[in-house]
Amino acid sequence: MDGERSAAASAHVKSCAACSAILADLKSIETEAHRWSAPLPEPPERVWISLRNQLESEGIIKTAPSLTTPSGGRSEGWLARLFDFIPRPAMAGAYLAAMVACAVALSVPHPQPANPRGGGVWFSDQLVADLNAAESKDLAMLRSSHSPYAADLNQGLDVVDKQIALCEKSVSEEPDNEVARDFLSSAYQQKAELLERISERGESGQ
Amino acid sequence: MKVRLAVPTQWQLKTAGLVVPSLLLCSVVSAAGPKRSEQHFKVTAHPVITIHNPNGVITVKAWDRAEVLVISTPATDKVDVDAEQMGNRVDISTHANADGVAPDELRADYQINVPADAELQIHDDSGSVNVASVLGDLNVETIGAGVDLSDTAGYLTVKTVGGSFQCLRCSGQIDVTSISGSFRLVDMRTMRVDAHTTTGNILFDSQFLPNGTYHLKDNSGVIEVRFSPDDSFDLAAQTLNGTVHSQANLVPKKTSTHVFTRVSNSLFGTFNAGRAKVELTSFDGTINILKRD
Repeated sequence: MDGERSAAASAHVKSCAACSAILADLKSIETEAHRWSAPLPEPPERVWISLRNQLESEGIIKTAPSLTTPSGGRSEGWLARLFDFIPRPAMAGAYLAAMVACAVALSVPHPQPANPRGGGVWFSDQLVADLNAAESKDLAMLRSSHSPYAADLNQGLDVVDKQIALCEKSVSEEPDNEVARDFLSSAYQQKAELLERISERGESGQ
Repeated sequence: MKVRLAVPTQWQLKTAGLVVPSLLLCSVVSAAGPKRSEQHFKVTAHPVITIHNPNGVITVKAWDRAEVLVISTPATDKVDVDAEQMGNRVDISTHANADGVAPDELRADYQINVPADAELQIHDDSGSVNVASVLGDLNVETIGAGVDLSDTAGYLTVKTVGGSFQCLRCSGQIDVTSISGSFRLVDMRTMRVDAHTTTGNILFDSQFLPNGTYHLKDNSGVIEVRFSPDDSFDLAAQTLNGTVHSQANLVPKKTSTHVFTRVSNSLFGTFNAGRAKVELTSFDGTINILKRD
């Protein structure tokens, strides 16, 4: 639909009832699609670039050097920065995307990366620190809540964090152990879902 | 026969003078409190009922009428219940009608009757969810609320954080996850079960149907599976750091590279013809495969 159309094609469309009908249909679909998508705010391109670059640069499965700002200081967590200007529902989605990306990376067999610390670490300290920083915002909100379910969510997060630690230890010791990797993958997915729930409740003011 | 007429004494009259006004006062007070309301909605085949409730007891039962009956009881008069119909869908929700309502006041209890073929979507953070005899698909999400289902069918999807889950005589397909909730799956007739809890326990005391698949996964709780001599299943039980106990006389697979042991970290083999597929996985919990009494 977009782009230049050759003169011959344009002439053909004018003279061919079938093709012009198809073109009209496509245009109406395009118009409708734009109308549907209009209310949805388009996230800034830098969000996706940042997310993709960071996941790639972190490699998720390999140890990456600590990020530094141009001034040489340690950068603020990318997820934390991301969450500063993303609405909460989108934030929940970002949690989920990041966590599930981690989980998927774990669930797909791949060669063990070289690890200078020799411990078979699957997630960089940076990624984990950034996730924790982003999580702390929601935890603060949760802990100040008097909702009947707040204690359950807190306890659930504690349980999942402990499981992640246990599973990471197992994966570090036995990187090829599929069961351990599967449990670690599940634990990250559970954490993503929990954080998503907390974010949703923060948004709804419950 | 003599009939003795009761003549009130002075003491009785005084007592009545105190009690009657008190009863009247109680009536006035209760009338000013939260009101129980009853709403009816006519529906056609396969209606969808959604319920969003932050806290409270939700009881749903099937009946043979083509209508949905919603009986709601808010905890306080600061809480409203909305129930509205959009086509063949009935949406029910609880919300505050004033500012400054404490979270634990945002509560309502529901008794709901639905046609048996209804589809349910229930969100109830705290309290409990009870569903009986509903044959349509069912999606339940809770945080601390326990979920009790009985005689249900369809595709059941249940997610809790700390709430327990019990399913009695359920059929269809079940997908349940929790962090610390325990599961009891009893007398079921289902072809597919996917159950995962992190620290809760899982009890599966049901028949393994031919061609059925049963995946039970538990990080640190106990998985207990009960079987009868007539069951037929292919078993793979693994625990990373826990123990597997089995009373089943399994036949090891010829092609299997797994070690066959009765008490160890893993157990693989076939019971009878191996028609169902049973996978039990644990991180550091115990797996018990026991004969049914």
